[in-house]
Amino acid sequence: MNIMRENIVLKKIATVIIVILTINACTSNFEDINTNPILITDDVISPSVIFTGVLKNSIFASYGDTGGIIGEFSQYYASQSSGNLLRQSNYTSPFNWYRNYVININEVIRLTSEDPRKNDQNAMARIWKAWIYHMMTDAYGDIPYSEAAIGVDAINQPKYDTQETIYTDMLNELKLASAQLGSIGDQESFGNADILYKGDVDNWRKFANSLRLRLAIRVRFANESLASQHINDVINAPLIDENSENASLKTLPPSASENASNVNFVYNHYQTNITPMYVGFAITDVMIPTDDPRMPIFFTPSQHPESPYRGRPIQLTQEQKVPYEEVATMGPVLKADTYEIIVMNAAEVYFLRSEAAFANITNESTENLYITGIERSMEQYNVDEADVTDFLNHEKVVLNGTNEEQFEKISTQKYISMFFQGHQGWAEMRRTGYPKVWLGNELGVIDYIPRRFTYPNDEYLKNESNVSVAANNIGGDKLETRVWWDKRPGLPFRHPLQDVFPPN
Amino acid sequence: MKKKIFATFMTVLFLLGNVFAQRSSTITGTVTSASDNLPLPGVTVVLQDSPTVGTITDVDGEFSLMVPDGSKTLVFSFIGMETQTVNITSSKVINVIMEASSEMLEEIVVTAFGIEREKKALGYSMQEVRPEDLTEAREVNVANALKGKVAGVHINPSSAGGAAGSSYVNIRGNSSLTGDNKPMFVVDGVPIDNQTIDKPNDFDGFDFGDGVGNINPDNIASMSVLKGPAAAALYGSRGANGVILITTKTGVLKKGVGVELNSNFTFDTPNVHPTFQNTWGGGYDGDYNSFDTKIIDGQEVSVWPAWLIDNWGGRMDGRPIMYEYAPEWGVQPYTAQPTDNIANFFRTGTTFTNTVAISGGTDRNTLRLSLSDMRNQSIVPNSSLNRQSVSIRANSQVSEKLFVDAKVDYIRQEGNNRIQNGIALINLPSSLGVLPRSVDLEWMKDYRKEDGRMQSYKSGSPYNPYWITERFKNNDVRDRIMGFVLTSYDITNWLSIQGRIGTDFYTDKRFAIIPQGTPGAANINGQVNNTMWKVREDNSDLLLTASGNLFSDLSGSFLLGTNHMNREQEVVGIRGENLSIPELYHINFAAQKFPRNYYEKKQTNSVFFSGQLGYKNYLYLDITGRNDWSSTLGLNNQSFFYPSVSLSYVFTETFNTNTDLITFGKLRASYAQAGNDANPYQTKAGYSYNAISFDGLRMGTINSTIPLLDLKNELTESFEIGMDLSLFNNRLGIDFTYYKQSTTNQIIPIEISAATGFSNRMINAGEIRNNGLELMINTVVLQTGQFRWNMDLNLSHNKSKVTSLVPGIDSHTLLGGSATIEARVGEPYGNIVGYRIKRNEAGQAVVDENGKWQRGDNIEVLGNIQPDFLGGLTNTFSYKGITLSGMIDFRVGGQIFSFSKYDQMAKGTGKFTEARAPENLIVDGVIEDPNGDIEVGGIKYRKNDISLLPHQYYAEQGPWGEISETMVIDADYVSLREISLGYTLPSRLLEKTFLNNVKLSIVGRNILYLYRDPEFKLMGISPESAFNTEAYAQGVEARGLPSTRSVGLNLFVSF
Repeated sequence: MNIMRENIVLKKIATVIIVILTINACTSNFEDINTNPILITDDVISPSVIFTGVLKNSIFASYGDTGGIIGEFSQYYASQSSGNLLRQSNYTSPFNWYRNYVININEVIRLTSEDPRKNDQNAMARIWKAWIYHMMTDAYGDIPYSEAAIGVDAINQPKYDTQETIYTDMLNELKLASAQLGSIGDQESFGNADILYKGDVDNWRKFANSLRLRLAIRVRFANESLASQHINDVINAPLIDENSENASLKTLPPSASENASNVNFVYNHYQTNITPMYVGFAITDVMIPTDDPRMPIFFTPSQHPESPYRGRPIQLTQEQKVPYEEVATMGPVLKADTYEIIVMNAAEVYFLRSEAAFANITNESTENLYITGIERSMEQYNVDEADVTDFLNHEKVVLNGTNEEQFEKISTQKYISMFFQGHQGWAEMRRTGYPKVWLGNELGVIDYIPRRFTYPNDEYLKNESNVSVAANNIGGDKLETRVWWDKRPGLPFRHPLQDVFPPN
Repeated sequence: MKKKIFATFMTVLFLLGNVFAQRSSTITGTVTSASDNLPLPGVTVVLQDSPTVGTITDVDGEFSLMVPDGSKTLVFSFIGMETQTVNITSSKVINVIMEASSEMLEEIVVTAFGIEREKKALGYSMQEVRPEDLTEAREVNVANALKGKVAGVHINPSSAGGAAGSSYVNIRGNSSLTGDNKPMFVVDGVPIDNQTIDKPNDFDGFDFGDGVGNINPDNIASMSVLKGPAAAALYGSRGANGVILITTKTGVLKKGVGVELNSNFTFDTPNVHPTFQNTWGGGYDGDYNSFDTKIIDGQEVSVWPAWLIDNWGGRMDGRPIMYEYAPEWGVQPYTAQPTDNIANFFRTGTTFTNTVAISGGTDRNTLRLSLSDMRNQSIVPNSSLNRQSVSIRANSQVSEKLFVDAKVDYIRQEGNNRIQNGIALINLPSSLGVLPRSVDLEWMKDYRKEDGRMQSYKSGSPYNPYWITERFKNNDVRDRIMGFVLTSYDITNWLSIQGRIGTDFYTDKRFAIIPQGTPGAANINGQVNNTMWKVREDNSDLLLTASGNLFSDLSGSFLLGTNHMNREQEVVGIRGENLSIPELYHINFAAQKFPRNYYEKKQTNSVFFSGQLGYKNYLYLDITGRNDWSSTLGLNNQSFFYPSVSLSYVFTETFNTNTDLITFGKLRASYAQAGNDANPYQTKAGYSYNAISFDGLRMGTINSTIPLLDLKNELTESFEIGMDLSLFNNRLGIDFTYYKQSTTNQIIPIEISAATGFSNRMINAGEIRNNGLELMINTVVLQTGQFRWNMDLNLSHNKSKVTSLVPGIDSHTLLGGSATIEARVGEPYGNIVGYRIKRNEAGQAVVDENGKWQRGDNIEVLGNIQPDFLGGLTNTFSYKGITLSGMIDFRVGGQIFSFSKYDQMAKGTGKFTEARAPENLIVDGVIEDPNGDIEVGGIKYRKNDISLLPHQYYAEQGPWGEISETMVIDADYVSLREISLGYTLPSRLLEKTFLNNVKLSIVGRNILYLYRDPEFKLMGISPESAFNTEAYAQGVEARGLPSTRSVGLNLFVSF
C-alpha cells in the first residue's frame, strides 16, 4: 500500500468524522422527527367529526346496555347465562363514558365555543352532554362533574359532585342551550354529521325541552321546587309531540360490507348465536294482564301452553330455572335487520306531562295526556286502531282508582312505552316503584333490584380520596344506597306473588 | 465488495495449496503445565516464520502439526502462561512444559463498543458465556441458553413453545415501569433490534419471535453480559438495563483454511402434561339435570346440550349419551377418556441444525463464511419454523496502520402456523384444557361439519383443537440483514481512530387467516390479515483512542466517541373480513377491509468519552461520560448526560504474595448513571379517527393519553461493589457483587381516573429501587490424573421496591385481569393483587349462612411476580476426551397467577376437584352466629357443617366467587435444565486424517422438574413460560403450550 492511497483513506476518514460530528450537532429537525404523521391536531380537527362519533357511539351504547345487566335490572331483557345479579360487581360502565363520550362532547363544546358561526353546534353539544350525564349519575349517584373530563389540562383526581348539583346544572344547561339555539344568524350546520336531527334546530330545541322535562320529573320527589320551576318553564315551550320528532337513530342495514358495530346487535346475536335472548319477567307481568297489543311486536312467544308471553325472572336458583326454560324471547321489532334506537319519544313526553299534571305541578289534564301517551306509543309501533281502542278501554288501563293506583298506571304505561331503553326503565322503576318485580331465590346481598351501581374498583385506586368522600356522603358505596332523587317512601315494593312459585 | 471477497477467498485457497505442495513432516508432542504437571488443552502452537501453520492442543494437551521442511521454530502460547519458543530439531516429538505467566489471569474481555480490556482492570461486574454453552445443549433462541448460567439474569421462554417464540431476558430486576426492561443486544458492536413486534397479550396474539432469536448460535465466538449501568454506561440512554454483547466468529489470522461443521439434531417432547379428573361429567349440582333426554331405538339417551362446558355434573357412569351439537358422533357410552388423550394430541417435535463455516486467512487478511440451516417442527401438528442464514466476515490489515473489517449476516426465517399465546378459550392450549372428560379427541378429528361449520361438542368457543391446527393458517417470513463496515487507522503508535457504520434491518411479511365456518359473527365467512413490517436501525460511530504509558508506573488510555442512531419502523397492513368465495383466502375477496399503517422514527446523537488510568499492575480507574440528544423527548429536555466512575484494585499484586492460598484478589467499586429515553410521539396532543365509519361519516375522538410536553429521560443511578478472588492455586474462584440501583423520572403513562376523560397521562415521576447480590463460584472439585470435576455455581438475589409514583397515586397497573399485576408504592415491583377468601382474625374461613365461600372485603396483595433467588449449578466431569456436564437451575420466591388453575377450577376439570362426596364439600370454616361456641375478635361463630354442591365448593372458591387467592401459586422450581455428554476424539486418532477436531455430544435440555409447587405438579403445568416478554407477563401462567424437553445429538467437526 503506498502513501498516496493511505492519504486518500485518511481523507475519507476525515470526511466521515466531519459528517458524523455535523449530524451530532444537529437537533433542529428533532421536532419534525417526533411528530406522528397520523396525529390530527386541534387546528385541523373538525368538531362535527367528533360530534358524529359521540352521537353514534353513545346512542348505540345505551341500546347495547339494555342487552346487559342494565337491561336485566330494567326487566326488558333476561339473559340465560348471567348469574347472581344482586351481588356487588365491578361496574365500569357507564363510568367509562367519561372517556368515551364526555371528554369528546366537551371537546366539541370547546372547539365550537370561539366561533360565532358555530353557536348552534355549541348548543347541540351542550344538550347532548346533559343526555350523557343524566344516565351516568342515575347509575351511580354522586359522580365527578365540575372537574371531570375538562380536557388535556385534566385534573388527575376530579372531585365528586352531588347528584343534586349535577341535576341542577344539567337542567340549567338545557335551559340555556335551548335558548342559545338559533340565537345568532348565519350558522354553520352540522348537516349530515348530526345523525340525530341532521342539524335541524327546531327538533333540537324540542329535544332539549323534552329532556329537561324528563330530568325535572325525575327529581320531583327529591326537590319539588326545582322540578316545578323547570316543568313550568318548559311545559309551554316546544316539546316532542309527534313520533316524527322522536330523537332516534336507526341502525344500518346489515350487508357483507357493513361493520357489525353499526348493525342492530339483537339481529347480530340471532345470526350467530343459538342461545335466544329472553324477555324479562316484569315487563311481561304488566303487559299480559291487559292483553297489550304491543306484545307480539316486542316479544316472540314461547311454546309454553298456558303463558307463551311470560318472561324470565332473574335470580332463579338451579331448581327454579326448570319451569322457566320456555319463556318469551326478543320480538320482531328487535330481531329485525334494522332497529330504530329510541333516545326519547313522544309517548314519554306525554306521560311526563301527565305525571306533572297528576302531581299538581301543572294544570293540564292528567288523563288526556295519559291516553295520548298510550296512543303515541301504539302509533310508534303501528298498532291497529281497533286494538288501541280495546286496550284503552281495558279495566286495568283506564285511569281510575286510588291516587296510588293511578300513579301506578301512569308509571307502568310509561315504562312500557320506553321499552328497551334499559337506562330509563331501571331509573323509572327505582323512582316510582313500578312495575313491581318478582325475583327468584338465588341469594344476593340484597333481595331487590339494586338502587345504584357501586363505583368502579379503579376509582379506589386512582381517585381514592374523592371516591371515599363521595361514598361517605351518599351513605355508603353499596347497591342498596339510594341515589339523591330516589326519595319516594316505601320503596322497593314487594311483588304480591313474591312468596309464590312459580308466580305464573 | 463481492469481487474482493472472492479474490480474498481465492488467495486463501492458493496459499493452502502452497502449504501442501511443500515437502513436510509431522511434529507431535504434549504440553503440560509446570504447576501441576497436567496436560494443557487449548495451547496455540504455530510456526514462528509462518504463523498460518498452526494448531491447538487437544484435551490431553497433545498436538500434531505438519510443518514444511526447513522450519525452525515453534511458538507455544496460552492465556495466563508465558509464551515459549522451541527450536525444531531432528526429533519429531516436542514436549513443552509451560510456566504460569507472572501476570496471572490477564483475561481479555470484550466491553462496551467492542473495546477489549483486561478483566482485572474492570471496576464493574460482567460475565462471559462460552460459545459451547450456546451450541451444544442448544436452544433455537440463543437467549434461552443463558438460563441458569449467568448470575443475576432472569430468562423465561415464551409460552408459544419450542422454537417459535421470544425470550424474556432481564438483568438485575425490573427498573422501569413501562420502558423496556430488557437489556440491549449488541452484535459485533452494532445494536440489534430485539423487540417482539405485535407481541401477544394475556388474552391472545401471536409471538413471531424477537431479534436475538434470529442469531445463529454457531456463529457466536463469545457473549459478554454487561450487568449494570457501570458496565454499560457508554451506551447511555440504552444502557440502563445492561447490555449483552455478542461477538461473532472471524477467520483466524494464523491457520490457513479451516472448515467447521456442526450438526445438531434434537427431539422435542412435552416435559409436562396437563392432568385432569376423570370421574365427573358435564352439568351442575352433581346430577344429570342439565342433560336433555331423547329416545333413540327405544333406548333413553342423555343429550349433552350445545351450551354446556362445565363439568360439575354426575358421574360418567357409562350411560348412553349423545352431543346435541355433534349428532354425527352418534350415541356413545358416557365414560372418561384416558388422561393422556391430551398428550397424544401433540407430536414429537424435531429440530435439525446444520452449520458449515469456512474460514481462512493470510498474514494480513481473513475471511469466514458460514451457512446455516435450521428446521424445526413444533410439537403442535403443522407448526414449524425454518431459518437459514449466511454470514460473511472479512477483515484485512491493509497496511501496518490501516485495518478494515466488514460483516454481512443475512437471515431468512419462516414460521408456519404458529399457535396463539394467551388465555382466550379459542386458543389451542385452553381448548385442550377445558375439553370435557367424556369427549374423545378422536371424534374431534373430523373437525368440519357438512355445512362447513366447525364441529365440536359445543357451539361457539372453545374451538375444536383440530380446527385450530388444520384450518387456521398463518405464515411469516422475515428477511434480515445485520452488518457493519469498520475502518481503523493508527495515526501514531498511541493514537488511533476507528469508524464504524452498522445496520440491522428486516422486513416481516405476515399472513394469517381465520377460516370460514369459524364461530363468531366476524369470523363466519373468514378473515385474512396481511401485514408487512419494516424495521431499520442504523448506527454510525467514531472512536478516537489514545493509549500508552504516561509515566513509569502510570498507564492510561482515553477514548472519545460519537454515535448517531437512526431508527425507523413502519407497518403496512390490511385485514379483510367476510370472504365471499369458499376457501379462497385473499384480501380481494373480502367485503370489509381495514387498512393499517403506522410509521415511527427516532434519532439520537451522542458524544462520549472514556478514560482509564492504571497505576502499576494493580490500581485502575475508569471514568466515562456520555451525552445523548434524543428526538423523542420534550423540546427543552433533549440533551442529557450520564457519567460513570469505577475503580479496580488488585490487592494481591500489592502484597506480592503469590501464595497458593490467594492467587488473585481484586476489589472493585463503581458508580454510574444510565437511562431510558422515550418511545416516539409522546409529547403532542391530538385526535384520531375511528377505523369504522357510520353511514359514510368518519368519527373522531381525542387521544386517550395526555401527552407530556416536557418529557425527560428516565435516570438510573447505580452503585456497585464487588470482589474477585482466586484461591487455592486457582482451584476456587469467587466473584461477588453487591449493587444498589435507583431509577427515577419514570416515563409512565400513568393510569388516571376515568373521570378525567383519559385513560393515561404521561408523566416523569416515581422511583424504583433495586438492590441485590450476585455470587459466582467456580471450583475444580477434583483433579487427579486426567480426571477433572468442575463445579460452577451462580446465585443472585434481587430486591425491588417502588418507592414513589405520582403524588396521590399509589398504584400503577402493569396488567389488568382476574388478578392485577401492579406496582404499588412501598411494595416490590409486580405485586399480584386481588381478593382473598374471607377470613377472621384467627385465619378461619368465614362462610355465609349457607356455608358458602365469601370473598374478602378488600383487594389485597396475593403475591409478587419476582423471584427472590435465581441460580444455576453446573457440574462438569472430564476424563481424557470425555466431558459430562449437567446443569440444574432454580428459582426461589415469587408467585404466579395460574390461568390453568382458573380453568380447572371453573370448569371442574382439575384433579383437585375430584373429591366430590358430600363430606368433601364442606368448607373448613366458621359461620357467624351469636350463639356460636367459637369466639374470635369479639365475634361469635359456629363451626360450618353445611355441605355444598361441587361447583359451589370448587368454582366459587376461585373464579366464580371472584376470589383470586386460590389461583396464586408459588413459582419456585428446580429444573434439571441441561445434560450433555461430549466426546472429543484424541488428536492422535485424527493425525492420519484430514480432520482436525471431532467432537460428538449427546445433549438434553429441560429434562425434568426436580421440584415445582405441588399444585403445578398436580395440574401438569410449568411455572416458567410467559405469554410475552414484558415483566408483568412473568407473573401469569396463561395456558401456554406444554414446555418441551429436547434431547439430541451434536456433532462438531473441523478440518
